[in-house]
Amino acid sequence: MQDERIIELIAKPLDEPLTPSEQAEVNEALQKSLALRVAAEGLHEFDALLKRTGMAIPDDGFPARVLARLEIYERQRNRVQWLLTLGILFLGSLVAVVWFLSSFSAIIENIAQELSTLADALPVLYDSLFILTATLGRGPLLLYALIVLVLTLIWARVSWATTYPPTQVSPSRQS
Amino acid sequence: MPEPNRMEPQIIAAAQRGDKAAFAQIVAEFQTPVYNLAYRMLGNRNDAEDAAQETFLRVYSQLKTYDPAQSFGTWLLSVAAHYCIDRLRRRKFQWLSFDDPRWDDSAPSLISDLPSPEASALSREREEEVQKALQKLPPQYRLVLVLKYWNDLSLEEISQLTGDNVGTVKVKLFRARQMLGKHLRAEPNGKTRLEFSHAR
Repeated sequence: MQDERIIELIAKPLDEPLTPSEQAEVNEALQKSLALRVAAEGLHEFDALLKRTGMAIPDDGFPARVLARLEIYERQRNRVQWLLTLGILFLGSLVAVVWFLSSFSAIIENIAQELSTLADALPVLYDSLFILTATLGRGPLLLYALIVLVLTLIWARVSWATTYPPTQVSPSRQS
Repeated sequence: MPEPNRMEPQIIAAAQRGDKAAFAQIVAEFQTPVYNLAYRMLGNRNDAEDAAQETFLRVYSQLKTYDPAQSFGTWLLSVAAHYCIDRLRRRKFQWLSFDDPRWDDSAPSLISDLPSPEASALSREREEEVQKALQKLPPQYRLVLVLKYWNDLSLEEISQLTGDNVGTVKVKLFRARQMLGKHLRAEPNGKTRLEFSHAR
């Protein structure tokens, strides 16, 4: 257990500094034990070995390959989005058709009902039309027609009068 | 790893608006730390390339969720780390054929230029040893080691990235070093000098 702690203390300075008391403890243990000295040496060799091992680097053109893959990825994603949209539209249409077929009789029944309501309302509409016609017929229809004719003539005259003279070019601009 | 503060907030904001040129700048800036993390976690170049690309695609689609109060580099690495862990988890259930390209375990090129072929060969050998030993660690332990040694993150940053508390990160680091030490042979004669966990 004590050895375990000493080993931990030997490894500790690789990550963070030892406190003075820990340093003293390590020194004392190293002086006493050859095995611990070998272990400490091995540990530091190992640490140095790992630090000397270089970074692995990708082959040339890595960013270009990533961007090319990104293009493919985006195209695939767009295709998937299109397929999803079409799929949803298809499913929606299918549901609508199924609903229509399943409630076909109810729809026909409703339409028939609406038509019959309209047929019931037709006489009322005819009545309203006749009342309107009778009301207009009681007035001086000839006078109404003359007023409309006069107004039309005035409008036509005003329209003919709006002919504009050709634009004059000022002498200064001519020169 | 590039200093996260150097990534201009304007570039991140532009990328968040869908600007591909700004995103390309982000990829160029972070390609090495992300690729390295993927390579150390997954163990081979093909998987690392694929995982790094996938990470950037995820980053692109999740950019809108990025909180500028957080370090961009740490956030990006957390996306990469989670993806690699998921991939390792899935890999357990995959049937692999010997033609699978992931068996190609050739080491990738390293940043440091080496002075001589001998030094280069030694470095490559050492690199392969580390890489093989690393692959024997459980993914969670492997991750803390990679973040600590290659991505140079502090304990707090690792804690933030993995979701563990700092104490747990320390314990994981300690155990990861112990386990890696068991696997890593520092000397060609087979004597494992790095087995510091056996000192007692």
